[in-house]
Amino acid sequence: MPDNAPALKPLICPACFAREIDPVFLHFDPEDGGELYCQHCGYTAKSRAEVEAFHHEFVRHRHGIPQRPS
Amino acid sequence: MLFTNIVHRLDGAPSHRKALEFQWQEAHRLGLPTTTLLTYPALFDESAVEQAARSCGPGDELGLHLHELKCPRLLDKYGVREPVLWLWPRDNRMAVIDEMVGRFAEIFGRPPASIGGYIIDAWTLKEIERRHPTIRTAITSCFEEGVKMFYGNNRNWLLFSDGGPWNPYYPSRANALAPARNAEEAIGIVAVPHLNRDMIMALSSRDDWFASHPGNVFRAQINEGAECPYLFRMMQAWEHQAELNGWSYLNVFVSSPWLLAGHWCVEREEDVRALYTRTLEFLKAREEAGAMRVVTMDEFGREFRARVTPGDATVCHWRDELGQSKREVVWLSNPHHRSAFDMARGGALIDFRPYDGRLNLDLGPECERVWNGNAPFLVSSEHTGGHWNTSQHATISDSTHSMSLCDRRTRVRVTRLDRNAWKVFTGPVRYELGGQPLVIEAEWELGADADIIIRRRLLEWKGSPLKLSEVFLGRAGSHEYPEDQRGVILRAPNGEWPVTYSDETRTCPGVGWVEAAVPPLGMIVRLEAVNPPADGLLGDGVIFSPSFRLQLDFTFSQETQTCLTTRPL
Repeated sequence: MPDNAPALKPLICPACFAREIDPVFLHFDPEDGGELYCQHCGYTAKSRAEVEAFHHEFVRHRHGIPQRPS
Repeated sequence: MLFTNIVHRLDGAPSHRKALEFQWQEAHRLGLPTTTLLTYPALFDESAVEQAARSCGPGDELGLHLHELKCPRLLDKYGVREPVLWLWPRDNRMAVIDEMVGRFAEIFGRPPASIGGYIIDAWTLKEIERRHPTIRTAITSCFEEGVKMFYGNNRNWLLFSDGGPWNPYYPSRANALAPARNAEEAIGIVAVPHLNRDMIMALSSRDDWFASHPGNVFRAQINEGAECPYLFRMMQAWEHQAELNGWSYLNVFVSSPWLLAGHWCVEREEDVRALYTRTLEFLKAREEAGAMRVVTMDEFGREFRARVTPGDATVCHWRDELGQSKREVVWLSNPHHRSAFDMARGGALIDFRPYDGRLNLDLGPECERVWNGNAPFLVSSEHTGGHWNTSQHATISDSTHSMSLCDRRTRVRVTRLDRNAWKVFTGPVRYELGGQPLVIEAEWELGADADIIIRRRLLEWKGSPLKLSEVFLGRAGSHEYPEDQRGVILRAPNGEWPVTYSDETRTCPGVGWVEAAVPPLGMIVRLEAVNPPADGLLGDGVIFSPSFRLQLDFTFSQETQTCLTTRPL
């Protein structure tokens, strides 16, 4: 499965999570090389790794936990 | 043509007036006309009045602004401690306006033609029209300032004007957020918004951060020093709206405190002032390129009257200018409703404010709504938790699989067909149903009447016969907490059923329409099968999720055509 293809378990939007709104699941648009996008806040990412990096960074800042257990 | 107003506010405070001197100076340097609105304290301050008379150039306009009410004279005279005039008792509210207009005429030898406020309700506008007929243009509301603004401003800014038009319009005599149906219904004042807002962030965020305001972008922290490319992309996006409507409007209204180092948002005064100057230079450059005209509010009012007739509609096709993602939203405003279609959800109708009920939205202690000036919704995916709770959208199924068109982001083309007719088109869009490719296109016809025509065409499918369901999920509300939906009546040609939170559905085979009468909104919403015939379904909600369902099920072999419409109750 390519890195930006839909995950088996949907990814939650890290920007909505940072606004303390969850679960808002990301959608996948296959056009133009594929993108993950949030219908709620407009967050867009090219890859699952990018989403997870945003999420982990926010959790580290907000909760003081360096890596969100997966 | 895009018309632009550069608006200033003249306050009483000397530090504010020093910053205003800078604003005037920059506009005059570039030869741009401005409209400066004087507040109550400024009108009764000799040095402020002298400054206005001295600093206004020949092309500038002076008018009145109904904010900044904190002044001892006002408190001594009226004894009202409400900080905002739209919540004042009516007698005192009009006495202040009368006093301001009288004082303005005494100072400048003529009454004002333009006035500004954060909210001016229908009752107040009608009184202004009756008592002060020289006032022909007014800033009457802040677009989509309401629920999200209240939260975003730490629950300290009680301004609720969600649900109105984003563009200038002729307000109805019954409801100042509803565009008038005709000249008889129109208040004789052109209503313009306080700032232009980002038309995507207006849905998903507080939109004061994302507005045509060089100071506000500092508050949103979307600047880098004195740089903010977003601000200019956003302003240029309003030029695109002129192609769709024949005209467009932009309002840059920066009150002077935003340009002072003492403002809590401003880290470096030189940065915010540099961005203000760049904004004016941008406007000047666009004017020289023939893309816009900078005019005073009064001039805009006259241009608007020459171009727009009461009853006209307006549309907005907005791309994501902030994140520059592929999200696009199409808005429609007409005398019957305001609608927003989200192309990130396959073109679903995600915000729908019916105006046909002409609800009384007047505010203040004498009024039923007191503070809540929001025009209520039937659909607000933002305030009700998502499009699965309120929206108009379509689903497709075969004998074993189903999918929602909301699940795919689509691209859109908007074409103006006539003065009040637009086609919104998406497609071809490729889906998969049960692993099989399914290709469809969709089209919406928008106009000045209440009907929204929705067409879906099947372009590719090799599986078993398809069913297409047009679904309308609605609930009456004006904020995030669910309101009691009892009193809503669901109807079809074969009967009617009151909403009781029963969770029951009623099938209505072979019917031409299904509808809901919604007393709190004073209107009826209907889904009608234009072609081919359809089966209907009516659904009651539950208290936990109190949306009602109107549904039409079509056999989907070539094209379906559905009409979503409203009428007064």
